[in-house]
Amino acid sequence: MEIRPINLTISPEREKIKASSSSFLDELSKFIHWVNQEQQKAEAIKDAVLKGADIPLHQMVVEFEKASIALNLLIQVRNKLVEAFQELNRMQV
Amino acid sequence: MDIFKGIDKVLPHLNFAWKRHKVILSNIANADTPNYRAKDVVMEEESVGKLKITREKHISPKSGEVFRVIEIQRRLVGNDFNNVSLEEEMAKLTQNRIAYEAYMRMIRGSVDKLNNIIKEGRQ
Repeated sequence: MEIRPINLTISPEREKIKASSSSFLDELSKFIHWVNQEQQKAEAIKDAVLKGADIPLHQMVVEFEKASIALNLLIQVRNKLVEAFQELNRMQV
Repeated sequence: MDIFKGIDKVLPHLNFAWKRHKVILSNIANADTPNYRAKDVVMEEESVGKLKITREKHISPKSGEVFRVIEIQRRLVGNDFNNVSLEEEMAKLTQNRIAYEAYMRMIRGSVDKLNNIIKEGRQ
């Protein structure tokens, strides 16, 4: 009696998903770049306002808030990553 | 990143209120200027009245500008051909300021919500 082996090849659809999705590191560095951009935007607006440029008040407020939210988000992500690392570090093998 | 979708949705309205405030102020300042015509700002409708660009030579609409300044034609014109009505401008100014504050409150709401989520509800 012939026993058929289980088909172990990964379906092409899963291969496609694997190829298209970027790594966690890529996503993280993209995110950090974005946070940096927001900080620089806020800083540029601050410089312009201090120089006396005619910038609407709300635009300044919104850019500052965006920058602070982005930074807070980054800090929280960092805390989670450190937490995860420490958990792995403490793990008994 | 589109976590700021809620904020960006309100921004054009804030810009509009800011611009309108300036226009109303200039109306009040020119209440006694001869030959001055009162101005106002109107929101450009998104779909209505906007022409599509089908040829290369067509003029593209100014990007980001969703409002434009118009001259008020009607109303009684005095001896100096000035048609500013001070009372009406004052009323518009107050109305506009309330709108601006309301939009600012919307922004504050979105910001507080995002901060709350980031802090996981903790203080």
